[in-house]
Amino acid sequence: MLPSKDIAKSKTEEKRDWQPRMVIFLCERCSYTDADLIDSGRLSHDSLIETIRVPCSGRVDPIFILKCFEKGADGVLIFGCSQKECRNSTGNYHAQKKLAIFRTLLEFCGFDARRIHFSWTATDADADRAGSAAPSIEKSFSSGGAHWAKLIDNIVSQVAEAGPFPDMYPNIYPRRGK
Amino acid sequence: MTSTLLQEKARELLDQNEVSLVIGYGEFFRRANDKSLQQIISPIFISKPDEVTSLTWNEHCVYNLSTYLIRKEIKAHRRIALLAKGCDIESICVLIQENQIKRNDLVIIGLTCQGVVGNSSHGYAKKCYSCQHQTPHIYDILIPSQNRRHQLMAPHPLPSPLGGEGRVRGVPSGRTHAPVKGKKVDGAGSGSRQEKWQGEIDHLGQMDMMDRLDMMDRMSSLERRLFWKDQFSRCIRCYACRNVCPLCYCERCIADKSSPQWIEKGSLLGNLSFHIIRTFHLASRCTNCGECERVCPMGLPLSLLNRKMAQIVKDLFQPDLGLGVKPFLENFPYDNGQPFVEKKSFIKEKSFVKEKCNKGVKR
Repeated sequence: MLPSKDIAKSKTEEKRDWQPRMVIFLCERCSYTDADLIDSGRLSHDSLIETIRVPCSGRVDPIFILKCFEKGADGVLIFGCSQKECRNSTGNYHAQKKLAIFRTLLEFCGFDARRIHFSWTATDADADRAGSAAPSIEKSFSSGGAHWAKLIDNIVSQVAEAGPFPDMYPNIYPRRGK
Repeated sequence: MTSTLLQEKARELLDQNEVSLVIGYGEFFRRANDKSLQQIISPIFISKPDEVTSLTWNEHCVYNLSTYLIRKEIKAHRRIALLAKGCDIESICVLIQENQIKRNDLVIIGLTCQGVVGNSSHGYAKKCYSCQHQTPHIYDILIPSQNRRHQLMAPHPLPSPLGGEGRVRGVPSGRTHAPVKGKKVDGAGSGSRQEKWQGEIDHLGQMDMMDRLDMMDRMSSLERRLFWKDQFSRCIRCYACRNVCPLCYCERCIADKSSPQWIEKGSLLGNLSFHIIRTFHLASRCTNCGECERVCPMGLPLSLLNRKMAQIVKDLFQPDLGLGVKPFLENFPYDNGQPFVEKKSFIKEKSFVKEKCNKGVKR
């Protein structure tokens, strides 16, 4: 049994028979390949995840997030390149700025803040900063699938705590996708 | 007396051919239902020197005229003179900053303002309580006001979008809404909830904006959601808030797009999206002129959203707003604190990484 599966199970088995539906926006330059590594490294996670590939995390408009919730998502995660590593120079900063204020606005309108997450992709530089003296093969791998799977597990469990996304207008307009 | 001075200045500008159009406030009379004459202030567009006699300036001139500057018909004019109070100047500043208009194409007739009539409990408009500039800080011609404060304790009825007089007689706009007939929005215990919040909503209109925000912050997440659900379910999607806003100048609004249709039409589902996105597009740009809330026929507390947005931007990023500073979403300092980015504490869990990596490599 693979470790990520163990972790996912140990968290899920006790309290949830229900799995949150997640939408993940992936920057095609960094995190999309990371997501690939999950498959090539045969790491997996037990979640209902839809991945959407975007040219840059700056492409993610707040309306995308609202649309995800309208269509039946319970949580949204946006992945961007690490600091100073965006190929479009400021796309990830733009995304971070936009989404930080947008999330707080949604919180004000009664959304649960645990449903929306934004993350940089972990890089070698980050691993160095964390004091990792691992050999290069570990580092290059650690910037990929393993971290990714752990982070996803982390976030999925947070979304699971928040529960199913509540319908804003349940009786007037039935929610689609479920 | 003030109006006479204003008319003289406007006549001069038009006579000397400095401007081709003057946008100002006009005074008209109309027959009310009880056959009495009712004074109406409405925006007026003057292109001939003889027409300046309708120009006026008093405490009923609440409208923010800068919203006309971005209309195509107005942009076609060579040079425009515009009446602007201190609060309207802010909108003009943002428009200049965002390259929508040129300062040289504009003659700003500044009006010294002592407060305008509105729906707050004292008869003033709500925006007057957070007034920054009684005398405009940018102007070409300044029209001084009389020194005494207006006696606004018993405001005159102003034309109301609903036609009734209930909403305008000093009644806060946050609470008097037409009940949604035959369309009861029910959920768990909606009756008691409606009763509970009705009192709060009544109270909202009379409170200071900061108190309102405080009250919203004290609510739980569920209460806030139910509150906004009630509010947004009243929205009739007339888009008056968007059309009156001087800073909503997109040629094609995202709410009008139908393929792909990002914001649902004809259903309550889209109301939430529309208002959240409208607020987001005004992040750090909204000048708190309060026009969206004033024109809303259903009395939604829209400035509450806008003020909250301003507060969020200030709390998270603390930008220096104002003329000469780049708009908030256009500059990228590389050390802005990274609010809400996932903490990568798990990187430190070397054992986890190592274990996982080893297994991966072996396989």
